[in-house]
Amino acid sequence: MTHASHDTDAGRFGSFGGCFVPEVLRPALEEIAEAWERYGDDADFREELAHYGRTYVGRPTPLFEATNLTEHLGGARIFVKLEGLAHTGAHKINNALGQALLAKRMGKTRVIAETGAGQHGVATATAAAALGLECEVFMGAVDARRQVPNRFWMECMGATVRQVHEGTATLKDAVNAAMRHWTERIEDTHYLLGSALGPHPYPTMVRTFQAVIGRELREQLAERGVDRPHTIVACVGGGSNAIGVFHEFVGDADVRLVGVEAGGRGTGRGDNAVRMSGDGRPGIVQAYRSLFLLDDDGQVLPTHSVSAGLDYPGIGPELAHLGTTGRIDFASATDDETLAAVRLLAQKEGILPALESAHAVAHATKLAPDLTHDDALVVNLSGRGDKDLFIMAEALDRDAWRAFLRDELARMDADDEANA
Amino acid sequence: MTPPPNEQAPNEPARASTERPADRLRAKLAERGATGLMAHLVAGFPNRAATIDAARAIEAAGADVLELQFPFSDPLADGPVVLQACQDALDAGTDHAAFLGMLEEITRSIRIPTVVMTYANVPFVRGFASFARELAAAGATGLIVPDLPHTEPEFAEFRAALGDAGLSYVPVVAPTSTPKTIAELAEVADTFLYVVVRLGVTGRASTIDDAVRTRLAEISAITPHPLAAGFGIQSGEQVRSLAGHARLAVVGSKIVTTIREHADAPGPAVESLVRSLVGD
Repeated sequence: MTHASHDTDAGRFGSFGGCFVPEVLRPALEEIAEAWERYGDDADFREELAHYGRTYVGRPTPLFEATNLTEHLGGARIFVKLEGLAHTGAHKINNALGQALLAKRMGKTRVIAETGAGQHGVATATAAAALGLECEVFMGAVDARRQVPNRFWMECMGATVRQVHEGTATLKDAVNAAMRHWTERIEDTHYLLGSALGPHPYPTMVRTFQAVIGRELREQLAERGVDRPHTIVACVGGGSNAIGVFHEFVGDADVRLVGVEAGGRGTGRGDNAVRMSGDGRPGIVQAYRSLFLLDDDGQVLPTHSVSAGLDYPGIGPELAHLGTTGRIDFASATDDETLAAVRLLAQKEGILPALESAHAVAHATKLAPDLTHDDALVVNLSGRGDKDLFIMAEALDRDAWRAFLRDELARMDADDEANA
Repeated sequence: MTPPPNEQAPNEPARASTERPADRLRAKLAERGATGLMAHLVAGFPNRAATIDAARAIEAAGADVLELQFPFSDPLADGPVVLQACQDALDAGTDHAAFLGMLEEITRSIRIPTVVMTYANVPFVRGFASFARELAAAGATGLIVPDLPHTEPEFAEFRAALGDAGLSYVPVVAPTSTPKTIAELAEVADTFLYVVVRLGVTGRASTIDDAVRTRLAEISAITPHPLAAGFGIQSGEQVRSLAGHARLAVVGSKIVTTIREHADAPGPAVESLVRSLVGD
């Protein structure tokens, strides 16, 4: 059997990647791949995106030297890339704007997206509002419950948020629901996938939109007299912030790249989302081949993380490949280590990291003491922590937080009665 | 247009001495005059006994082919009804061994051919060759995998594994498939093509109108293989309106819903439903 007409290498990273969609979606993916090929390198398109980056997103995002944390830990010079200062509070906007602009050029009037923590959903709702596109976001019911603020903001910007109750009602089920919905509306709808995973060309396209992080980082380090960082650390759910900051440095063999996965409650099955440094195995799930948390029959296992954005059983195919070849190292941080890292960074530097990004901080605190002051250790802080107020306050200041919520509700009820 | 029952498909080595599972499926399709029925069950939903009970009822009611779904945790092409049934079947303990046990018992107790449907990860994790051998040994005649496109490099190994095990490969044709794609799918098919008659996922009702019949005729002009038409077919009237255009109508979500409503002993209700769909 030969299929000579097909480019079988398209979208492959070693054996990972590919485009495992039902036949009904294959033409839609081909359409995106063609548009991407046409506009990805188009000067006009790139300038339009860069313009939004400068005037709307706030690029370049700052690179901050965390001198207090450096002094506290003793060892490496720690730098923090503040993607959380990008508009909407996370790196997700880089990709959302890129794809929304591409969708417009493709003649689409509507975008749909999946979201876990809500950051990608907010970024998509934002890009859609700014560019005049209709927007619908699929969110697992469990995530919608723990990320109420983001759900609220998405609706505020005119997006429809559809809660997904199937399966584990988290990010992976939101992806399934978005893809199913897309099969009904491929004509006018672009699926604005939020991470560097899924079917080709998403892994390549999303990585390219996020690679701006690494490019800026190299320039900003050079301005501080740092030729090359010793180590770059980034958290990894699907992995778009990680591949975005790593991509620029993959060719610099002496730069150590470390992805940090969600260690969750511990090493038990279903207690974490550790694929690369844990039990991930090769699979074909959600239309791409990569490493996933699976049982012996290939069923996708439930995951857990305190951060909705890392609570996902798969990893982008390029990261899986670079991890398998040994170019990227992987580690994990537990929920508890992560919460401690939020507090540490907040107290030492006045920076509130998103729970996702705090996984990278937690691991960096382990690496820094073993390095010297000549070594630059960069933490990609993919997002800021405002969205996590409800989780953080419950975890760190439970009694006072609950008292506040009870009092606030009582006050509102009393107001209602007074006005009735 | 239809190949004679015993003609070897191009992808299978000739093995004249023994009947291959795919041959039984092809023979069954060839004996069909009017539009027959392929009835879909989710294995293990709500449990083993109910699945076997329903399979027997499906044969007794006159269906031509049983489509047995090996439940997967993330079924991309399925709508809410089948999706929930898959989840329930998995929660009830339908693992690999349980599935093969059900398949074996069903194929021993009914004479109509059984085609297995599942998602790519299930055979991929098992290993394509072992999976195909196990299905054939348990009495299956073919396999439908909607998310393993013929354009991916893994497909060649998968298709060869089915051929080696004597199983038929049933490709899925979508409303979005171009004539070129349909021709490619026809080339890798060996019994019939599963034609999805509308966009979207399984479950929501479809209208079988002239546009659908024209589409089926266009596909028939490209491939000599018979067609099964599916997605959203829920009534005998819809099945009859496919006469002359599809050899089989596929009914899935409607049967799964009936089983959910009669979970303790679905046999009689499924038999009555399938009888109304078959129309005789």
